[in-house]
Formats: sequence, C-alpha cells, structure tokens
Amino acid sequence: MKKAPFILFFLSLCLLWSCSGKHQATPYDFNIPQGYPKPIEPSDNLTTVEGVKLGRKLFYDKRLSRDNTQSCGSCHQQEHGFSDPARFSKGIKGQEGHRQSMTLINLAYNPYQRFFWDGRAESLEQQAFEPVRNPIEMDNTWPEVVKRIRADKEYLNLFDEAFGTRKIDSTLVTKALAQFMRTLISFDSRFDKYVRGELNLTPSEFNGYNLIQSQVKGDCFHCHNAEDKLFTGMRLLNNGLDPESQWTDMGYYNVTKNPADKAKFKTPTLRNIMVSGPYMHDGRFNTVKDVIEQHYFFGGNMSSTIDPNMEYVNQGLDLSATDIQDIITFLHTLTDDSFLTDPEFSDPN
Amino acid sequence: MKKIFTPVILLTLAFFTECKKPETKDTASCDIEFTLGYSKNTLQFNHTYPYGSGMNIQFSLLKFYAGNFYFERADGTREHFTDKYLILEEGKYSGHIGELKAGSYVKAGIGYGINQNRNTQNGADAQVGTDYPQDDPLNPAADMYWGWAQGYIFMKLEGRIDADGNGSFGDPNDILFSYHPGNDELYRAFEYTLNFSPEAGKSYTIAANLDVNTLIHNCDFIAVQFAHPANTSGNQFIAAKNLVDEWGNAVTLAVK
Ligand code: HEC
Ligand code: HEC
Repeated sequence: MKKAPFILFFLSLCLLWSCSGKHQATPYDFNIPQGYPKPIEPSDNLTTVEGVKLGRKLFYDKRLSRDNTQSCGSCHQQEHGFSDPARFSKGIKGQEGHRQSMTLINLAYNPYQRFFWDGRAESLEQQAFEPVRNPIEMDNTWPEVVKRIRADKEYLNLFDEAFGTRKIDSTLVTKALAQFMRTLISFDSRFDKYVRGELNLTPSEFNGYNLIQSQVKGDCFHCHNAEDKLFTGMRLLNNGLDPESQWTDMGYYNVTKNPADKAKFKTPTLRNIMVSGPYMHDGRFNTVKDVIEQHYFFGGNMSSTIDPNMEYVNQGLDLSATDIQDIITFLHTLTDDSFLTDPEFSDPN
Repeated sequence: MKKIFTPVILLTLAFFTECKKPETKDTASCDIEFTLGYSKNTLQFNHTYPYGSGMNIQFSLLKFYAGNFYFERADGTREHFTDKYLILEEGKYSGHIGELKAGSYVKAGIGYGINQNRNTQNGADAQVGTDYPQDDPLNPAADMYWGWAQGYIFMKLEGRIDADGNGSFGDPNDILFSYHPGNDELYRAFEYTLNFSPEAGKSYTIAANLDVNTLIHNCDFIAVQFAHPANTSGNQFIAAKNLVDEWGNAVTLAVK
C-alpha cells in the first residue's frame, strides 16, 4: 500500500513530461456547408487555427519584399477575389510581368495540384516560395525574409504556437501561407443560397444558369462545371484564344516540354468573376461581356492543341444578345460578398 | 510451480489461436489494370495514328468508369462486386476491385458506366453526387457528371482529326471530336473469358488489354463529331451507342 503514492507521483511526472514534449495546435474547422466538397490538405501540413493566423499575418506583411513596399495582398486583393485589377501587376521595381494576377478562391480543392497559369508549381507550399524571390515581384531572398521575421518577437510566438518551434525557416513560412490560402473558401454567394433552397433565382438568372450548362447554347460546363460547385475542372487547357501563328506564351508547354501542351493554361473558377477582371492569363479582356462577345461567341480559334470540347470552334455559339445578358446576370450570382469582405481574410495589421 | 504452468500453457494457446486468425482468410486481393493499345502498339495520347483514308487521328483523353465486376465459376455461380466503381484515366488506369473468394473461375464480367440503380437519372439507390466523399468516383469532382442530363457520364473519349492528312491538326478544316456517352440506355456490361484460380491470402492483378482501335471501330468521327446524348434517339445517341457496344470486343482479360 505504501507504494501507491510513489507510483502516482511517478505517473504524474510522466504525464507532465509527455505534455511538454508534444506540441498541439488546434485543428481548423473549414465549416464546409452540407453538400459541398471537402478540402484536400497535405498530410504534412494540416490546417490549424494557429497556422492560419500566422499565414494571414505573413500574407499581408510587406517585409517579405526587398524594400518593404509589397505584400502578397498587394497583388491579391480581397475585394477583387484576391486578384489584381491591374492587367499586369507591378513588382517593387515597377516592372510588369506578362501574366494577370490570379484569384485565390477555393484553392484547397485542386485534384491535379497544379498552380500558376502554366501549372509550374505542384503544391501551394511550393508555389509560395516563388513570389518572394521573383525579381519582377517582391525581389527579395529567403535568407533575408527569414532574418527579418526572426527579429520580430511576435512572430517567434506565432511560429511557436503554430508549429511548436521558434526555429523559423522558409519551409515553415510557406507552410503557414499555404494554410491561410486554403481557408479562402467561397461558398456563400447568391447561387449557393439558391442551391441551399434559401432563395429563388430570377428568370433571367435562371436562364443564364441553364445556358452555361447547356451543350447547345453556352457550352461552358465542360470546363467550368457548376455541378461540383467549383465552376472549374482546374485542368490545363487551351480554350482557343489565339490561332497557332500568334502564340507567344506557351503556358503548360514551358513546364512539360510536350508540344501537345502548347498554349494551355489553368482553367480559372467563375466564382467572383464579376469583380476579378481583367480576364485570361494575359488580362486581354476588361469585362466578362468582352470575354463572351469577343471570344466564346465566335467559338475560338482552331489549333493543334485547342480542347476538343470547344465544340463550336468553326461555327460560333448560338446565343442571342439577351442570352449573353442572362449569362452575365447569372455570373453576378457567383459574387460572394461575405467572402469578399470577410474580416477573417483581411489585413490583420 | 505446477500452479503456474497451467495458466501459462492456456495463455500461450490463446495467443496462438489469436495469431492464427488471419491465416484462415479465404480471399485473395484483386486489382485490375487496363493497358491501352492501338492495333499492335501501345496507345500514346496526342500521338498521330492513321485514320480512314489519308487522314490522321490523335486522342487527347480517355476516361471511363469500370465497375460491377463479377467472377464466374465453371458451374455458373458468381462472386459479385456490385456497385463497386473505379475511374480509369491517364496516369491511373488501375484500381482495386476487392477481396475475391479463393477458387477457380472461368469468366469475369465488367460494367462500363454506372448502373441504372445508382445513376441519378432514374436510380432507386441514387444519391446527391456531392454527398459522396470528395475522392469518391461518384462525386462530381471526378468531372464525370452531367447536370443538364441528370446523370453520370460513363466515359469520355476526346481527340482531333487531321482531315486533309497534311500532318497538321490545327487547320481550319481539321476536326475535333468529343464523345461522352452517359445515359441508362448506354450502360454496358460484358463478360470475358478468364481462367483465374486465386489462392487465399495472395494478391492478383487482372490485366485488361484495351484496344482503342477496336473500340472506335464503328465510330465515324467525321459524320458525328460530338456525341453527348441527352436523349435516346438521334445521331448523337447512335454514335455513342456504336462506341460503347464495342467494349466487349475491345477488351481481353488475363491474369498478370
Ligand atoms: C507583384 C504581384 C504579386 C505578388 C506580390 C504576389 N503575387 Fe501571387 N500571383 C501573381 C501573378 C501575376 C500570378 C500568376 C503568375 C503566373 O501564372 O505566372 C500569381 C499567382 C499566384 C498563385 C496561383 C493561384 C492558382 O490558382 O494557381 C498563388 C497561390 C499566389 N499567387 C499566391 C501568392 C502569395 C502567397 C504571395 C506572397 C508570398 C504572392 N502570390 C505574391 C502576382 C503576385
Ligand atoms: C474547353 C474548356 C473551356 C470552355 C468550354 C469554356 N472555358 Fe472559359 N476558360 C477556360 C480556360 C482554359 C481559361 C483560361 C484561358 C487563358 O487564360 O488562357 C478560361 C477563362 C475564362 C474566363 C476568364 C477567367 C479569369 O479569371 O481570367 C472566363 C470569364 C470564362 N472562361 C468564361 C467562360 C464562359 C462564360 C464559357 C461558356 C460560354 C466558357 N468560359 C467556356 C476553359 C474553358
């Protein structure tokens, strides 16, 4: 009997020891509505409340750029679906690239794990390495970024809470950024409320919906499918923007070197499309109306890599002016104001 | 001392019987792997093959459901894998069928598409696509679901034709084709010869050789370029039917 207190003491010591050795961050609740797909997270970077908090601070931190003037949020602005209203974003030196900034919406869903217009990054973690050291974007170096972050006491605590370590390195920075970006989920638009039975679409909206889902009319659904609620299959495709003789940006081909991938680009989502212009990889169209009237309406340009689902390539689409207006009216229902103004996604500084 | 012996022996016995349990397993693990050929060659996507007289063809996509597998013994009795579906596509033309009872089989059956009960077009067992887990073959995220025709797309075959045979596929008169059969009437199940004697506890892979040239044997991509039939009549339906009817002839099975 005398032994009992000893054993108890010993056990509590063990318990204490095991608690201090283990780091526990709080799993993040994505709060996905019923009937919507579940996000895909890499097993070595599960999303946590602490990781997201840290990632958000980093996303809006201008110290990531060489001269402290630019953060990720400079070219990925929340009110524009985390895209840039400028055709080509300016980097810190005022230089322009040749591609339009991309929206950051529902990135947690990405069956093919291809990021950027040309699919050159194979994960969000990998993607996040690039802007910092891109000379025409933030033009910094990772050792410099890590040095700046290490000098900030608040960051030391945030990294400790998120990853259980104060040894900050670039991998942990990109992991936190990726976690934050995975939480940028937009499933609360007027269309979603319609899906959930909370309201009815107007006849014009409903007609627009049917038109994009119809094979003989808009024929958009092969690539921007409404069925899985994502409005993009996320594949890298050529939607026929240019004839072969005018190809300048070879897109996915630059990554695979397979001639069959020339002029293929990642299919963007149509969610929040009305606020995320200009459009296409080179931002050539200013409005969605232009996208339809100047491109899809004509069926696109025939080429050796155009997607076979650009069915009306030699004919053009059978859409009246009212049809086009209805499609645009429907696309407005994909604007998700609660996403575009959600304080959880905005600059915390 | 003797007192200890009995419990020890009992425990050891108990331990051994516990361990033996997995050995009494009477099933074999069974996978299927499709290999795509074109006549005598391996099919390569976006590779040029001769088509018709003086034309060329390239395939850019072949994605399909295989499921409702069964294995049949000489006496006609079967082991069914009803309602088991796989999506086969570039980069992943293989999948796990399930645990098959050891024994001796002479035939195997494969269904191409989603059977009527499960299909959302008319099915009694159908459920809302997005209620399946995101990575389930039946979730619309697999990009094999048609909103406007209320059902699953059973297969997608897409490509292009160099109609003037000049070697370029991007001329204005060249042709794109896209066949997406998906309609209860176009669900097909075929039975194949397969001499297969799986032993308990072992793993097997059924090698399914799919000759795409045979599969498209009755298709005229020049006459009907797009076959996404929502109805059960008309050109698109007939063209899609000509395609899916060939699953029987186009596939042969063997044990790997
Ligand atoms: C100077 C403007 C600029 C800055 C700063 C910037 N981006 Fe971008 N971002 C772009 C552009 C332009 C693209 C498209 C580039 C391409 O495809 O080549 C892009 C693409 C992306 C994508 C790909 C999205 C997809 O769907 O594939 C992600 C993710 C992203 N940026 C995240 C970030 C993060 C994180 C940061 C901060 C570390 C950042 N960006 C900083 C302009 C910028
Ligand atoms: C064959 C597949 C395909 C079809 C069909 C298709 N799209 Fe696209 N869509 C794409 C791809 C790929 C891009 C990106 C192209 C690029 O930037 O080079 C795109 C881009 C867009 C953009 C610009 C998005 C942005 O963020 O810049 C809009 C808007 C759009 N599509 C609307 C539509 C509409 C409306 C339809 C039907 C009338 C349609 N699409 C049909 C594949 C398709």
